[in-house]
Amino acid sequence: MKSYVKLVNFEFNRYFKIYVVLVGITILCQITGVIFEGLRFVKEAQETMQHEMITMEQYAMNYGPISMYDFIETIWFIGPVAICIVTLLIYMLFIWYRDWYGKHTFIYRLLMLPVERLNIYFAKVTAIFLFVLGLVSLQLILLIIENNILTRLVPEALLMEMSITSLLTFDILIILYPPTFSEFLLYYGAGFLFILVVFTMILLERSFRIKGILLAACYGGVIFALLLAPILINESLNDYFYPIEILAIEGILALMIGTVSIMLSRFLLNKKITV
Amino acid sequence: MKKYLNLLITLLVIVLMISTFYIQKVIANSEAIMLKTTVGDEVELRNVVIDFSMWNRDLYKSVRLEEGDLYVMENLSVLSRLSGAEYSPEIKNLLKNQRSFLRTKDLSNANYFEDERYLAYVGFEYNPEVIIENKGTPNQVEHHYYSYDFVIDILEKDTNKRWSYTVDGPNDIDISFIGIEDVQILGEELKVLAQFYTWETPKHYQWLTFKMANGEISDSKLIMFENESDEGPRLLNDINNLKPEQYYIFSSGPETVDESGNIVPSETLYVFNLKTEQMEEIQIDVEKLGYFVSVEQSNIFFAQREDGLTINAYNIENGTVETMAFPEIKSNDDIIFAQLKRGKLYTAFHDENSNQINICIADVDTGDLIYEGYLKHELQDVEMYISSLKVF
Repeated sequence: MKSYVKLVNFEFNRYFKIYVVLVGITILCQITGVIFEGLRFVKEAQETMQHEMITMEQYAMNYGPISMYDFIETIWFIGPVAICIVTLLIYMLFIWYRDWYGKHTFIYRLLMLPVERLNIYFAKVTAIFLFVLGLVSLQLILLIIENNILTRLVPEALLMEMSITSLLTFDILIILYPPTFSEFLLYYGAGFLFILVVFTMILLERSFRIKGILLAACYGGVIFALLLAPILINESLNDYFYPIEILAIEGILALMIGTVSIMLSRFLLNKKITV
Repeated sequence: MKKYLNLLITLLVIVLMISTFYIQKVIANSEAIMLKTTVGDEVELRNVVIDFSMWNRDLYKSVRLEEGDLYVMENLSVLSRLSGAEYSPEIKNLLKNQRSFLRTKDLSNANYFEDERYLAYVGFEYNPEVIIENKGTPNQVEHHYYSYDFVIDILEKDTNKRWSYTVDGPNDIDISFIGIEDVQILGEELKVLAQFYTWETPKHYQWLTFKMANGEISDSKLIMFENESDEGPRLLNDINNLKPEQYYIFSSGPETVDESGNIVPSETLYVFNLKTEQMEEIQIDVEKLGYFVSVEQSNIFFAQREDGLTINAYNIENGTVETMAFPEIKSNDDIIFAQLKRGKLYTAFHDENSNQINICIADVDTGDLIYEGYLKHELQDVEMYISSLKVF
């Protein structure tokens, strides 16, 4: 356990600088964005009100008030979120390949450590997962701050105040912040499974190289087909299974896939991996 | 410890933010609405299901009061939702007792019939069809539409004997949609009241008879009305009722909805006798009877707000009116939902003054109040509206 924690900390700190940059970009873009969008709206509203000789209430009635929802649809908000998602997806591959292709073939030293090799695998999975959850938590804090900034920048009559709870029912936010904790476990559990499968595919490739690419593609394809099978079979059976039964089948499949991925990765790390 | 600082801070932020977010959601959802009992015992609500909604600026939530407990539909866990918590109480009951029978079927009350002996289902299969005009010419036009096949499944509960058929239904380009309004079993025949929506002609009701033995359509009657309003005829019976009906009551003439939303029916109602399949016209004195409440067996119930609440039961078979007075039920001018079951009157109505939903249960014989309570949101500006009251 101690070696696992040490490895997690090690993996975490290796990426931490890039992670801080990501956090910085997100904070900078979104805070600048909310100020910019808020001021721009107020300026446009004032110009229109002067030009048309109307009050704030009339402006809100004719052109609609601004709300946080308008802001989360802008590139200021979507941009950094997309950058974070893409960076973390790339880092899922990078976290392994840099150990081979980085300075001093670091994987050699990692594999020589007197610890169960599976710990390396779990440490990398944990690090990626913590980065994801960290950014999700940061976004939650930012939403609260941005909501406050918008409330201060825009006069009450031109603002449609939204609670964070109602804001989180829109678009991508409902996936990032599922409405109930059981859904949170379900969505993020699926994400965790995705990381396990991708890591196993990487280890297949690292173990068998060219042949490994084919094996990894087959493994990924089989997993995808397995997870899709209950839904397709149910559709062909005219929705014979109830939704809760499909969820149970998918849950069992996910557990099996997760276990197989871990076992296979353990086997590859112990017996097949080469440096 | 210092070398773990980054990891610890990140972990702390994650745990704090995510746990606070979900704990705050649970707290915000749980204490907001409450049920308060002022007279009697909450046990009286065990057979009562009230569906209502809450509105406040950007908030809209649908809530169900079931067996004395409140469920906010939007806050249900994914497991509860996938288990069917949002279905009607009747369907939930069927899912519990006849789970296998309900597989592959639409889970809508109107498609089912249940009595002590049978459970029946009638649904549709839609088949895409195309008619090609001027085929092979530059003026070729394709008309796409759906033909319908009836899917019938009947279960004899004691013997577990099942009759399952897929029967060819209407194949008419003029039909835009068919809605099943009610399913009944009379003797050895399965009867279906369906509403046909057409492109060219006004919508109409069709009364279809299927032989239980082979699923064959033995009869199909168009239900005709002498005087139809522009909106067409409207079935007043509760289509969510799965139980046997004796009569269908149609309002065909112009009906009005008063400012509270209560239906003031037209003076002419049409009574369709399910056994004889005869339509009869009845004249009712709207001013004397009040506004429409419900249809149960051979009675049409109307309500009036004079000295409390008065329920007038118009008996279809002999034309008599029985009046039941409930002086203790003080409702204002808002829409009222009422049901009479097992010698009790169950009512629920929105009280605009205090912005709450009042629930009253009274004894039909004595008029005495057995239960009184109300549903209220802790924020005064949250508006609450009832959508249905069901008593089992």
